[in-house]
Amino acid sequence: MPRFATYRLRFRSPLHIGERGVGLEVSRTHIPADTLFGAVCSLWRELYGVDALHRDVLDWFTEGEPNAQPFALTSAFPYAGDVRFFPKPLGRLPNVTLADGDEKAFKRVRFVSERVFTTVVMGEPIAFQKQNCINGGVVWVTEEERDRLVRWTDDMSGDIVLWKVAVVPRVTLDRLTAASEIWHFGEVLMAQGTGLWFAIEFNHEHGEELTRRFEAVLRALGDTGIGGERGAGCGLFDVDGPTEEALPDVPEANRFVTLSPVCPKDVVELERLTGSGAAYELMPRRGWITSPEAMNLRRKMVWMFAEGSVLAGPSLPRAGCLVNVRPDVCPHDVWRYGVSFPVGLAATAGSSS
Amino acid sequence: MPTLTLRGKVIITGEIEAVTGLHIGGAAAGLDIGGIDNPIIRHPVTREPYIPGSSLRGKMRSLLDHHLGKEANHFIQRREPVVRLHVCEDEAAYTRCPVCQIFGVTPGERRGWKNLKPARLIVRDVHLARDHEATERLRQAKTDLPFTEVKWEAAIDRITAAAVPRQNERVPAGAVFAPFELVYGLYDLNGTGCDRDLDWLRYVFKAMELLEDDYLGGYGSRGAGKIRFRQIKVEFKSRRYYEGEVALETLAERIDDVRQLPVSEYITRLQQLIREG
Repeated sequence: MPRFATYRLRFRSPLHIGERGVGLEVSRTHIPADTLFGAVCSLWRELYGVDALHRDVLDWFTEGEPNAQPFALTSAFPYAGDVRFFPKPLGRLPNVTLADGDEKAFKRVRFVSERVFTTVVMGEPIAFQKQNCINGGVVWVTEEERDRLVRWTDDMSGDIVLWKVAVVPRVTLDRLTAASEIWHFGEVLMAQGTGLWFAIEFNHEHGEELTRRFEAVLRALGDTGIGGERGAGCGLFDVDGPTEEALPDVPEANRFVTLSPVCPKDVVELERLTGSGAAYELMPRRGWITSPEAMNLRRKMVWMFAEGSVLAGPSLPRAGCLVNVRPDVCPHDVWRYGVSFPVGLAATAGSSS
Repeated sequence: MPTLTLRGKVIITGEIEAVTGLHIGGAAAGLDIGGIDNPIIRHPVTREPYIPGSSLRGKMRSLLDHHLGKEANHFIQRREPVVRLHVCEDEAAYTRCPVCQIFGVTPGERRGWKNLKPARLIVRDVHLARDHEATERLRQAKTDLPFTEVKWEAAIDRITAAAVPRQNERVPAGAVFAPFELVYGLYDLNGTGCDRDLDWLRYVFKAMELLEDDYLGGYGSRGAGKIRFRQIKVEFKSRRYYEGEVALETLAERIDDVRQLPVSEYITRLQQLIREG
């Protein structure tokens, strides 16, 4: 199994990663790789300047060969203690057996534990057990992992609760009369000992300096915050790592699960990725720009394959590209990351229905 | 293209003591019979009360608005009740305004502004101090609700003395929340240095001082919400710190009175550290 540098983000405050909603009430429970990449680039610019950002990172992605890219990264998924979680591979999973009446419970699952993920992608048989779904039924773990997570049991519900999405009331007071205007805000609160992890594959031809800068940026990002409402303290974290950790993989597979959102390079690649055996979810990637020249501008929307999508074709070279989502009035380019982080899938694992 | 360089971050940490009962309103979970009228905000995972960073930051901004006599020119809500606050509307005023520079400006027509910087101040949520004797005392006290008291208040008819009671939930006096954390970014725009950012750091301490003499949360005019900053620590993280080359610089430690902080000394020291890179 290939090994990658893995970082863990321990959140010191709630997290708000915007999702489609009426206002600010909704938040994702993981950080998509394009959000992480955008935040890293923004801080890279603050620490080392615009030229260094282009020289070290962006130009390699936009102008260089795919194998010259300085790094590839996964989205940041939850972990608790020593159990990592992964997105549930999408589509029909023939090696997973379901008891009658468990279809809805299986459908609710968003994340699976490392053990479950490995078994599924390797194509080994596994039985879905409703009683091993925790955190309100959105996380499926094995019995042995469930025992390792037992210290997060909530006394009142008896469920294992690792994180919760809370809708918090917020108030703005008039400066003269103290009249109040109330609004609501969604944030993810994580239990102690849990957080988000991501893996990164550095291209060693870029030297040690790249890794050193990336880590400096990541630590500074921890004190700046990631996601929304950073001023009110959201998204602050401490960084642990890197540790060398393995990810499952089936070499020379003809389909893969992606651990990062993917934006195909062109129509040919799109057709290849959505070929036989693919099962995917499309997610709109939109939001705001933060830079000294372009505050409060909405970036152009782009659709990407979500993490967990099963895409057709070989894992390597990596599918996808960076996409420029610069609004017309913005004086500079705005790049979103859409390169796949593939995990090869056994022929017996998933297939589209 | 303009350049923006992060010179470092000043981190102010410590404890917050509730000197009187503290009520920061939350949303009632439902209409329970015998339930409380005005509940406080609680952490959804641990169910412990906490001080949201937004409450602390909002109050600091509001007090600085008043302290510096800023015009309440920006409408959050135009219908009744009108809600306004101060936000600079032209760039010349913004470049001189510590409030808008420290706390940021809200979205609007700021597109052509040349000197816009990110908001400097980040304020974290503050949770009940883990393993602190005050929290332990509160745990043992068997209060009406976990960690909180229920305080009855009443409005009395001026003629008949008929009472209209209400219940407010409060964190009792003596509770300690820690660690509080304020992060203040120092930015250099277009190579002009960050002397002004450094100079405005004193307004962060000023806002803390003003807050101690005001109140946090609700029912402040009736005694609730007096807080005190304790065990204040001021640290500086430079770019070289993030690169792992130098250690964390501690400028002050274990200071129990915000008025005792020799801010000018830190500013001089910070200038020196920034010059050294």
